[in-house]
Amino acid sequence: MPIKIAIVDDKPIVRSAIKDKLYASADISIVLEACNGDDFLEKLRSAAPEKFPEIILIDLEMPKMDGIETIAVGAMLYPAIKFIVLTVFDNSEKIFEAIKAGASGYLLKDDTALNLTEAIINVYRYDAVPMSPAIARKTLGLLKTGFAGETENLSQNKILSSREQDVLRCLVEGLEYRQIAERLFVSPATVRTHIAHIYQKLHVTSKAQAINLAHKNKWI
Amino acid sequence: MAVYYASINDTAKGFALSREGIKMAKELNMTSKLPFLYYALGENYKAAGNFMAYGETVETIMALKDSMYAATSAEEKMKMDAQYQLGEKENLILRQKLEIANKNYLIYGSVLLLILAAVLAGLFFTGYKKNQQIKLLTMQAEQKQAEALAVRSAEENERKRISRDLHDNIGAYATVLLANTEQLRKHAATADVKQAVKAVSENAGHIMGSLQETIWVLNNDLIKVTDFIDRFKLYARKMMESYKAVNIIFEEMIMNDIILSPAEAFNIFRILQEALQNVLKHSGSQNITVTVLSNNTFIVSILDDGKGFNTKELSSGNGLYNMQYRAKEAGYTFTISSVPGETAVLLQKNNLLSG
Repeated sequence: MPIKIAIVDDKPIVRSAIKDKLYASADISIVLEACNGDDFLEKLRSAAPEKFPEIILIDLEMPKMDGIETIAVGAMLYPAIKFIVLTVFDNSEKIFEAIKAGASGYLLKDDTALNLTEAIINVYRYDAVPMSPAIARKTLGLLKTGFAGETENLSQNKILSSREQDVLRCLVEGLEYRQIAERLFVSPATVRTHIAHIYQKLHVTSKAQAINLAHKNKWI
Repeated sequence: MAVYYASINDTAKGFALSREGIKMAKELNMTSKLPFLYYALGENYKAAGNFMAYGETVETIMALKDSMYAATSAEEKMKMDAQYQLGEKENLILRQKLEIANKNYLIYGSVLLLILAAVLAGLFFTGYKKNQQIKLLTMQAEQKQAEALAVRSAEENERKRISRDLHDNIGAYATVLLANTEQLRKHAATADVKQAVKAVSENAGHIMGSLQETIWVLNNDLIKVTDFIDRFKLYARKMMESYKAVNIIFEEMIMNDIILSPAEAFNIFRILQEALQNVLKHSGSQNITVTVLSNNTFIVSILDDGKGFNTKELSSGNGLYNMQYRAKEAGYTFTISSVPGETAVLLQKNNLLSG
């Protein structure tokens, strides 16, 4: 059963380039295309169950409803869906915002077909894509100032474990999974799990905030 | 004298003298002397035993005294009246003087008041003028500030527009171009076509990479050292994909996360890229260490354990010259030292905390 994905980007030429990259893979099936957040949520509403996407590749800068808002609203309305930010340029500020809104990571549009496919499979199976040094540093920074203020109900499980912090420090140093695993005397799979947890804990956009966004965009 | 004659009883001579005296005094209108003369006459009458004449003389004296009193009092009165009138006059004069003085005071006061008012008005006016001047200056400064702000915001908008344009158009096409070359590579039949497609693909990749860095610089007015080095890590990681045997580590000592200007960041980034490429392509090193120190001094260095090179032989016409030029432009000192097994490229900027 291939992974069902959707592509949300305002430029048809980019959508077709991404499609070209992913067509070759037997593990992936493109079930939905949209040109902005509004269009995407509209199409999602009327999507047949067999065409309902599991992973969304989404651009950040789009007219009408941008990527971050779409992720926040989409993650609230459809918790089972996973979002991957797809961007030409890795603006760490915006990507960090997208992750806090509920994205499971980001990919560059110029990544090779192989990398894209691998990342999609990783998110589907393990809920994680590699984290860049800049995002890792921002996560550590967020930890320092505290997750408080980001959510109105700060729960214990939003606090990073010391092992997760170790992983983050390794990521800031620019180490890869393999190197982090060696450094911390764990398996690469464990490192991947830690990173997945960190992503989950970073999804700190509050429900109230998401509801506001949904209201603003007339989705509830 | 007549009294003396009377006392020695020579009354004839006394009579004559008194009568002559009285006559003279009457002629000369010396009324005040008359009582004395009559008295002398009376004494002579008494001495002569003529008491009738003496009595008459005494009556005359009394009448004289009365009239004299009346005269004196009239005189006194006149005198007093005169004095009073004089006083009155003096008083009037005084009053007039006072009035004049008052008038003078009034005049002086008015003049003084006028002067004071003039001075005050002058002060006020200069103050007003000054205020106006200050207001004008403030307005001019504000206008200048607004203009500068407008220029800055226009620049900002233009920068954002260029960035968006690059991102949306060139970025989109470069993405597609890369995707196309990937497809082409799969379908390339002959070796030379494969080679050509590979070259196109690599160049498209370079365009994409440069574009991303340009957008990065355009998108940020201020770049923190941490952001800067994190981006370089991404670049290095991508480069290392082609050099799996080489190990790269990053060492950070960022006590003060200084801010770099976009131009500065861009130049330094290009130098580091060039340096890393040189190491990977030419040095044959196994271990690369990138060190960042940021406090009062900002230092970035790339150290490798490769074979090294003669720094004097590479003078111009190569990347080194470019690196040096870029460093100078960014206000950094650029030093390179090399012995076999230890080559270091070092970029440095000093006195960051002292302003």
